[in-house]
Amino acid sequence: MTVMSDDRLDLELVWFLREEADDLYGAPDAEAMTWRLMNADRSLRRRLDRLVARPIVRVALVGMLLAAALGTTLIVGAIQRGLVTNGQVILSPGLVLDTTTGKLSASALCAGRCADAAEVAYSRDGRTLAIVDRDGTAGDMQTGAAEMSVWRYASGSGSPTLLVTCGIDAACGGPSFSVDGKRLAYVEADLDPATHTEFTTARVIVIDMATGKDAIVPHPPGFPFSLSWTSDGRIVEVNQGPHDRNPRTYVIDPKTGKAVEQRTDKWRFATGSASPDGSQIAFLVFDSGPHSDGIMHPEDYDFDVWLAGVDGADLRHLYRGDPAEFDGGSHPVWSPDGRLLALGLHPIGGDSRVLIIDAENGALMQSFDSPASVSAWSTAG
Amino acid sequence: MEDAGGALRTPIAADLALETFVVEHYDRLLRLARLICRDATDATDAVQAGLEQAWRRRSSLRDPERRRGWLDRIVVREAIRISRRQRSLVQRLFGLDQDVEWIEPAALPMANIELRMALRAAFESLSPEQRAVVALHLYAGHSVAETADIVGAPLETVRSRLRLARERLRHALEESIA
Repeated sequence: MTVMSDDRLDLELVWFLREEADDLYGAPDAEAMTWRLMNADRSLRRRLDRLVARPIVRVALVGMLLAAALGTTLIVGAIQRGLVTNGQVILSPGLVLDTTTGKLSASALCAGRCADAAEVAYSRDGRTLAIVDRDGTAGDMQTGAAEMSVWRYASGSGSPTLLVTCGIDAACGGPSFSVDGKRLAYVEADLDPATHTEFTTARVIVIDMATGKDAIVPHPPGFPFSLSWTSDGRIVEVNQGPHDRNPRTYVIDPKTGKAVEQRTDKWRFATGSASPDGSQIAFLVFDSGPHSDGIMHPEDYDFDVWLAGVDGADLRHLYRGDPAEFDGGSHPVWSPDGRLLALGLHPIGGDSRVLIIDAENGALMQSFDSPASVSAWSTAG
Repeated sequence: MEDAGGALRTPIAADLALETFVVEHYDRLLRLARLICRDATDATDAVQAGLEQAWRRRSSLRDPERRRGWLDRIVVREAIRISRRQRSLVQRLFGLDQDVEWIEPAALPMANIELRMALRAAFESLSPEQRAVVALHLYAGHSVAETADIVGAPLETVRSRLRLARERLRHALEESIA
């Protein structure tokens, strides 16, 4: 087979892209597009969208829908039994994935508003639930976060109590309950006033669930987007670097603000999350070797899962995937019993794939194509 | 036409300003979106949605030099969103694969037609995110760092997407030439 130089390849690709870009059969011209835009602004649908986009209307809708969904949610079963067993994997747009069969269904929790549920987090006893709705106006693909509400379900009762709301003046997301369930950490972010498409500044906030008292936790430079807790009350933060956006994982002491980057000679960039009991951190690594010559060498590119204690001890390799099959993924999601890990991966030429691996020996248990990435793993019920 | 804060004085002035805005950017954005979307219809939807957003927020962009990157970012993200939604819905409903048929002008030499068919099939097999980074880097001329900023992805991820996309396209080209 003919071997093609990089220069020749790029030349061919540039010509090809120019030809493809000119294939605009059926597209309106600029005048017709102007007419469309003028009329779109006046449409009834647009007005309705704007009404629903108002924070106060969204909060009211969330309240009504949650109350309606309460009697049938998968949360209630876990509450009544007081047990924590594995349920279904929750995907970002409000779908749930049965980890045994791979069957997709609409989440009962999200009844009527599934498309808006971006993130879900449970307390370890399954009684407190944080829901983040996607904001249609903020367009940031990395976070998708906007309004967050936290609800407490009393045992044996059908009426949840609204504890916390966030997101009226800023975007909120990445909620995570501490191991003892007494504290909630989340990310509060400000929208860039210059572009309205990016979040610029972000804070990690911890709320005491008993008193409602909150505090800002100092965090390293960069944008935090995933949080979890160690058993001794430290926060595991995945942070997009301030310049290159590559993910880095830190363990932060909320009392002192001391942050320790979880970086080893095995990887430079990784997303990590703490196990439900807070004793271990699983790291998803998509990394390439040094490319000082500016070329990405396929043999240097890795896709691995590593496991370590919260202070980096007992580091061990858990799973090696095919880096030619996937080009990225979100942080690992632990099952409620801490025995399995769900990896939401981005396959080349596909939507998403969810791999379920054994957190003890790294065995691949299941692999499912999925229309969205993994948000959380529910308790059974 | 616009005062200092970007507010428009009259509806007619607003229409004229919108027309100027669209004429200035539409053609370039449509071609960029076309590379990410599978057809011109989806590309048109992406550009329309992007221009609507941009027009509503235009007063917030104070630095005109950032306008091109700002518009590219909005439209590229819309194009990726629309491409992902379309594909996933169609695949789930009908289980269609990604083969497409098209007719080429007879004037083109057969070797060029086969080359282009192979490249197009390989290009369409890439994910929308991969097509976006290829289009932004190789077609629109953005650097890798600018591309990462526009698609909102880590630099490593963008490098990886470019590398994998190049590998797949190279393979298609080499096979076609052979």
